[in-house]
Amino acid sequence: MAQSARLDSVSPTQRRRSWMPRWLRNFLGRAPLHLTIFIIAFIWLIPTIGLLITSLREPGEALNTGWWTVFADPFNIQFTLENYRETLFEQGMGKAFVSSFIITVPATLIPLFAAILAAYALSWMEFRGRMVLTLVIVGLIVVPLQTTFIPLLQTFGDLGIEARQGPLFGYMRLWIAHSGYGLPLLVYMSRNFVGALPRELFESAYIDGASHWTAFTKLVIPLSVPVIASLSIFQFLWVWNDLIVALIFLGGGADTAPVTLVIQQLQGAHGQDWQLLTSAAFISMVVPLAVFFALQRYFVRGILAGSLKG
Amino acid sequence: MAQGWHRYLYAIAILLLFLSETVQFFTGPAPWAQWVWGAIGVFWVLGGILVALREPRFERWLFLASAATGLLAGVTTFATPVLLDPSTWLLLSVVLFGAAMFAAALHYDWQHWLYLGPTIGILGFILVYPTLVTAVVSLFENFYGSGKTFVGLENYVRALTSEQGLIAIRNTALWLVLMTSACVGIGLILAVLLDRVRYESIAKSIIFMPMAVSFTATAIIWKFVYAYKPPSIPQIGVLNAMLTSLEDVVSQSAVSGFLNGLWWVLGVLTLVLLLGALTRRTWTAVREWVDEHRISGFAVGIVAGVLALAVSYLISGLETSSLISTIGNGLWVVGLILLLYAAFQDQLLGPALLGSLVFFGLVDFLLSLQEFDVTPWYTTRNWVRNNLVIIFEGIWVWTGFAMVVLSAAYKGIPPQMKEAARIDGATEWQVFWHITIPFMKSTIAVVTTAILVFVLKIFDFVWVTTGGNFQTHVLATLMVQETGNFNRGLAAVFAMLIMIMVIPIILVNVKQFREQEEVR
Repeated sequence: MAQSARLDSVSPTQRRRSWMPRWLRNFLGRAPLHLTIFIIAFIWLIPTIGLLITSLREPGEALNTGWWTVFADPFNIQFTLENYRETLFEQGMGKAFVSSFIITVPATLIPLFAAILAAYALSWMEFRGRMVLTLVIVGLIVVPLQTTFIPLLQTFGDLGIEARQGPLFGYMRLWIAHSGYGLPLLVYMSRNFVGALPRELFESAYIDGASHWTAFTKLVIPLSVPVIASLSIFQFLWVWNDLIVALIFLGGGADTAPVTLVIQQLQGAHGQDWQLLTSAAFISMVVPLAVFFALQRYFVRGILAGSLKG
Repeated sequence: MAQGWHRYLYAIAILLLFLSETVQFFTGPAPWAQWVWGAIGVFWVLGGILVALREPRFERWLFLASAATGLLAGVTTFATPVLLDPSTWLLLSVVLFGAAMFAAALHYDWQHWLYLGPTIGILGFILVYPTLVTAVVSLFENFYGSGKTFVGLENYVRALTSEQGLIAIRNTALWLVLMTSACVGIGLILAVLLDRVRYESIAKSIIFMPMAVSFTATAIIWKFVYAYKPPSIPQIGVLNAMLTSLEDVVSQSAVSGFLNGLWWVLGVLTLVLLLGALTRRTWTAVREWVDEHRISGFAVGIVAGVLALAVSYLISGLETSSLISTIGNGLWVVGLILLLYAAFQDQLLGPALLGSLVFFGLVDFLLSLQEFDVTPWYTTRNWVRNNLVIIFEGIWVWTGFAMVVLSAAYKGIPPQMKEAARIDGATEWQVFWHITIPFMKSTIAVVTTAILVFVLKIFDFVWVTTGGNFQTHVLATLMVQETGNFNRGLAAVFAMLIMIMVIPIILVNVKQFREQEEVR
C-alpha cells in the first residue's frame, strides 16, 4: 500500500524519468498488496478445501496420503460418497441433522417474536421504568451463559423436565435455554431498529384510532422484515452451531443430539478416522454455508447491527 | 383494580411465596413452610374474590374462577381429591389468573407488560435467577446435596490455588490478549487493504466464511490441518507436510551453503556501510539516493533487514562471552524502540520498519526450520504452543467478524479527508495513523469488546481439540468439567470468575448505551 501511494503521489514529470514501463511499475507497486491479500485468503481457504476433499476420498487413501496428492494426478481422481453414507446412516449424523432442525427452528422463532414484542414496548410505549428495563437488558447481553448452568440443571430436574426422557423434553430444555441466551442481543438489536422508525408514522396511526396491537402487526412487523431476516439468520446460526448448551442440557441423549454434539462424540470414538470426521463436519456445515452464501447481505447486516451503534 | 387496595392481596401472596422460598433456599425445607403456604392460599383466594366483586369488566369472572380453583387446590390438599389432584387445580388457578391479568392489562394502561411479559419471563428464568443462584452456590459446599454447608470464600481459594485453576486463568489471559489483538489487527489491515482491490467482495466472503461454520466443525477442520504422523511416514496434515518439504529444501547442503555465504558477503559490506553511515552526511546521501531512484521504503526495509542480520551474524560469530550477547540484545531493543519512534515521524522509516519486520519474520522462520521436526502441535510439553495452536482456530473464525465491521466503518470515513491529506503530501502511513485510526476509534472499541466477551466464554475449540488436556484448559471448559464431576461449588466459582471479568464490560456497555440514547 505504501508503494502504490508513493507512485500515485509523484508528479508526471518525475514519473517519466523511471526506466520501467508504467504497467510494470504499477504492477510491482501493487504486488505487496495483492500478495498479502492472497496469502491471507489462502490460509483462510485451504483448511476447508482439505476438509471437503478428504471427506470424498477412499478411507485407505485418506488416511495414508495427504489430500493435496489428488492434484498430482487430476485426471484419475477417485471420489466416493461412501464416507457420507456411513456418517449419515451408521454414525447417526442423519438423525442428528433432523434433530438440529427441530432444535433450531423453535429456538429461533420463540425469542425472535418475544424480542420484537419487547422492542415495540421499549421504544413506542410510555411507562415508568422503561429506561431501567432497557438498561438491564443491555447489561444482560454479556452475561456469560456458564453462570446459569448449575441452577438451571437443578431447576429442570425439580420441574420434572430433566427426569422425563422423552425426546420432546430434551428439545424443550434447549428451546427455553437458547431463547434466554439469545434474547438480550435480539431485543437490543431489534429495539435499535424499531426505535428508529419515524415517529410520525406511529402518531398518525394512533390518531386514527389504532391500538398498540394494530400498530404492532400492521406497522412494525411489515417494516421490520429486513431486520427480522437478519436477526433470524443470526439466531439460527448461533443455535445450529452451538455445542455447549446442547452438551449441558441434553446430557448426551443420543436420540436428540444435534450435529455438533454428534461430531464431538464421533471425535472421541473415531479420533483418527479422518474420512468420517471430515464428512461429518461437512454435513454440519452444509446448512450454515448455504444460509451464508444465499443470505450473506442480511447476515452481514445483522452482524453490523449487533456491533455498531444505532 | 386500577384503584383500591385489593390488588395488594395478590402482591402479598406472591411476596410471601418469594420470601419463604428465598429463606428455604438457604436453610433447606422448613417446618413452618406449610403455614406460609396456607397464608399464601388465603391471600390468593381473597384477592380473587375481592377483585371479582369490585371489577366492572368481564375479567372479574376470570379472577373469580382463579380464586375458586385456588380454593379447590387448598381443599384437595387436606381432603380427598375432587375431580383433579391439588397440583392440577393450582396450575389451573395460576393459568386463569394469567388470563385474567391479560384481559385486565388490555383494559387498563398496562399493555406494555403483555409485550414485555415473554421477554421478562424468559430472561428472568434463564439468565437473571440462575446467575444470582450461582453466586450463592459458589459460597457453599455441596449445595444441592445432603451435607450442605456454608464455606464462604473457601471454594474461591481452592479454585485460585489449584493447579488446573491457575492454568485456566493463565490460558484465558493468553486467549484474551492474543486472539483479541490478532483479530482486530488482521481485521483492520484487511479492511484497509481490501478497499483498494477490485475483488474485494469475494476476498471478504472467503475470510468471513468461517464465521458461519460451527466452532465444533472448525475444531475438526484445524485438527486435520495439525494432524501428525511419525516422521518416517507421509504426513496427512497440511502443516506438518509443509514443514517436511520446507525442511528438506533448507537443509540441502547447497541451499544452506548459499545462505551462509550470503550472510558473510553481506556482513562485510555492512561493516563498510556502517562506518560510513555513522556520519550524518552519509545518511542524507542515502536518503537522497533513495528518493532520486524512487525506491520504496518497504524495499529499503528489506535491505536494511538483510544488512542488520548480517551484522548480528558477524557479531555472534565473534562473540566470546555472554556479556557481549547481553549488550547486543540490549542494543537491538534500543534500536527497535528508536526505529518505532522514527516510524511515526518519517516517510521512509515507517514502511522500512514494516519491510524489515516482514523480512526478519521470514528469515527467522526459515532458519528455525533447520532444527524443526514435525510435531503433534497441540499435544506437546510446550504449553504456549499447545494454546497458540488452538487460539489460531479462534483467530481464523473471528477475524472475519472484525474485518466486516471495521470495513464498514472504514468506508464511512469521508473520502475528502483522506484526499486532502494526500494532496498535502501525507504518506499512506500518515493517513492511516492520523485519519483512519482516529475516525475508527469507537468502532475498534466496539469490535474489541465484542471479541473480548466472546473469548471469555471460549469453550468449543478447546473442548473438541484437546478437551482441556495438555495444559489447555480455560475457565469455561474447566467449569463444564467440574460440573460433570459434581464439584458444583468449584464449578460455580469458575463461572463466577467469568462473570466478574465481564462486569466492567457490562458497565461500559450500559454507559455507552445511555450516551447513545441521549443523542437520539
